[in-house]
Amino acid sequence: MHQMIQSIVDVLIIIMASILAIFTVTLILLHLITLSNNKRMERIKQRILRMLSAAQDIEYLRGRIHDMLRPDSEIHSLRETRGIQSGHGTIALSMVVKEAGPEQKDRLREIILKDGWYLQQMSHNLQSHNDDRVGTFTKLIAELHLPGFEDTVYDNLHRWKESAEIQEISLLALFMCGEKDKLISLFSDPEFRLILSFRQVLELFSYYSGDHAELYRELLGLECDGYIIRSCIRGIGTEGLAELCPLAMPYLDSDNINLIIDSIRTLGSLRYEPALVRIREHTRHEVWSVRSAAVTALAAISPDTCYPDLLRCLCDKAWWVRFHAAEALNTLPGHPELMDEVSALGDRYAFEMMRYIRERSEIFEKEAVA
Amino acid sequence: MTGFLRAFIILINYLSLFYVLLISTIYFIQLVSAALGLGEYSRSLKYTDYSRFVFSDNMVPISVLVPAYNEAATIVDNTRNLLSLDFGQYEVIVINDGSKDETLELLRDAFRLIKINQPFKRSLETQPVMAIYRSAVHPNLVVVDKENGGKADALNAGINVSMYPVFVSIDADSLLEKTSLAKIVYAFMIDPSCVAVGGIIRIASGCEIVDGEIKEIDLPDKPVLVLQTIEYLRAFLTGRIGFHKMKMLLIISGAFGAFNKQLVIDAGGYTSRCIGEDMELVVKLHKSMMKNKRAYTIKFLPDPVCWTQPPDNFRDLKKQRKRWHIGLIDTLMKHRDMAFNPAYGRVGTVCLPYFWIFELFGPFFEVAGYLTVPISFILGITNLHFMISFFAVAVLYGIILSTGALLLEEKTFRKYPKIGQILKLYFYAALDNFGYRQLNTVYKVEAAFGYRKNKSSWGSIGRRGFVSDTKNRTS
Repeated sequence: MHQMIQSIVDVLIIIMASILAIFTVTLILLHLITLSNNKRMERIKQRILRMLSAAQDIEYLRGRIHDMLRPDSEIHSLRETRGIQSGHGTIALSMVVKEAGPEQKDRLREIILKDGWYLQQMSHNLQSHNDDRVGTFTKLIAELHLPGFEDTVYDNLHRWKESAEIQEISLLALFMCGEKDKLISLFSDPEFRLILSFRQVLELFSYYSGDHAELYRELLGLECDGYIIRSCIRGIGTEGLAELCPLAMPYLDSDNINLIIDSIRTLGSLRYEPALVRIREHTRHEVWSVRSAAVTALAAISPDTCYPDLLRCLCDKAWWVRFHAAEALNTLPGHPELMDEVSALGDRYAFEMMRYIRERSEIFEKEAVA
Repeated sequence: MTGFLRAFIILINYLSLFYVLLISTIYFIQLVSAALGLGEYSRSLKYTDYSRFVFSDNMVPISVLVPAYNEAATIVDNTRNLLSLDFGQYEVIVINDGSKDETLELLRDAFRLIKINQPFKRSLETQPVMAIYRSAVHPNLVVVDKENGGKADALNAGINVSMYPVFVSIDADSLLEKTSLAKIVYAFMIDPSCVAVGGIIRIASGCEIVDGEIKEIDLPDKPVLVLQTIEYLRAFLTGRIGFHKMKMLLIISGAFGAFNKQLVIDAGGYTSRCIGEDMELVVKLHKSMMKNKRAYTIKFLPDPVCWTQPPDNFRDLKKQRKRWHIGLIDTLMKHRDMAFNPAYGRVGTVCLPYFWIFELFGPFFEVAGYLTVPISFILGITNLHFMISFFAVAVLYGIILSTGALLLEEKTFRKYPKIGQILKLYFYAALDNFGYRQLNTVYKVEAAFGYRKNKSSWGSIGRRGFVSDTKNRTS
């Protein structure tokens, strides 16, 4: 028994020692070869490093692309750089795109579009079964606004239905290339399911390179995913597209609370008066987040008439509604007796909130004056 | 009787050996799992780019909570560091938990604090808040002054005062890299079911720190600090990533973690007077989410870095490790109903049993082995070959694990690019197994014996300013 255990342990020790030796040699090798400065050693080092380390390979390719973009460069096409068509090459291209100025970027786009061989490689990689490759090549298309791949990117969105990463990068490519028709076709397709978070979708819209108003107008006329509609409504507000306010109006009565809130915020920020009555009603909504958004919007649309509503909302049971009501009241001009009136309400929480907002703005006002 | 004693000692020897072999195998599986997890993470960074969101209005706004108790040595540098991070909308809330030193006064002077009557929701019970201050120069800095109630209580007070849906807890003796917040919060942005995310903790000692910012990364000179550097690398780059990959992460370090505020409130917040409040909260979140049958993820990301200041002497190290182990025991005891319980999925059936067997009882087996194997050799019960084998296995697995962690570091983040640094780390990775690791095991056993007596006591660890740890360089 003892002998058997001892033998097993001895074998295990040999295995462990071997693993340790391999780890140690790899670690030292990775590190030692970075030390050498000799030219020949440098080349060998680079080859070994490129084999061992993806980062080194990308770094080498990045250097080659930068060289190619120099006016006096002796490298004239992508195919002169071995490995450029690989995933590493694509990452290196993406890095150069980030670092390059507009002129260099245009030159790179020109080189890529002129090089049939590379375009073929891209097309091949975009259709591969490797999500990693598809993702990196799609990213390059987005960054360089490369035309001609819209259909493949569109197909990939259907092919990789469950991959949030591919969905995000493919949509980013379509948004950055301003592919309105493709986006509309996609978002109106009942087969297509968005698997991104709302914030990701919202961010994608900010990268759209075409006419935002036109895109929003068309998307709001369709039966789209709630995230798409919310993004359009938010976009109308952030980009100040007041002419599209009527499109946001119906959503004040949506069944989706988030849609109501977004439309309140948008219509409030654009001071859209036809929405006033409905927004005022929403200050009594059963959901506190709707009341909270309505308070701010109300003060923005109708600063002259909202005072009694804001005082009422200052006594709301929800902390955030009181907070936004106090913030709105604090910005209303022409109410020098505000604190006395709040005090007269007899609501301790309303008074505390109003006092806090006053004190806070005084601190920052003083600092601004100083 | 002698025959029985002999058989008993042999049994302990075999059990200890078996334990060491088993734990080596488990740690090796963790290492492989971590390598896969790291590879996956690095690949995902290729085309999902968090940097697009750093200053975007669409990024989740966050509250950074810094509990501070007698942190005069580091609090100003720490707060300054937090106020200079690359992130759009965030607030920094420092909670002075009844410090007896000059923590509050230093903050007041450095950031021109003005007392303000701020109403806040008392979602979680805490010790009374005495005052709230806002900075006149940094609109996003809030300082809460409250009666002493411990770290968990301070964090609960911070949660009550916070404005945003996600909070990040940071220790007052830590510093964040500029992009750390964005990286950690990005996890919430892309995954609405994300409940909590932990970042990696690295040792700041030896680095050059200017105005609360890490300027140059280097290793410390003191052996106790280098040993901890290796230990942290091993713990985070193999252990945490391994558990994350296996979807059963149980610890998010209190020094740097991000949480969904409402879900933490729903779970009851941090447990006051609980020493291992960080682990306890994560276990509580697992429990609450599984009980309510809600889909959720708890993640560890190896990229968002928090630099911390570890104990620089063995006396403080002992206090810290005993505290950590008491925290672990406390959490396991509080949630013993979850262990071996299939209702809690793999957390209940694999992860918690692992912690019970290998983290709680394991140190006893290990110490028993360290004692009985040499004794039985002296008494002639076992031979020299067996004794050497036992220690060889124990030492080799430790070195393999540490070297594996170094390899992962070298392959991915390369924070220590100089050959001298890597050789030094390698040397200490080996040295770690000749005394330091065993010492930590002894601390754990001591902690287990003193659990009942010390489970509510914090103890105090000496604090040093960040500058005292840095090397003399002209910057």
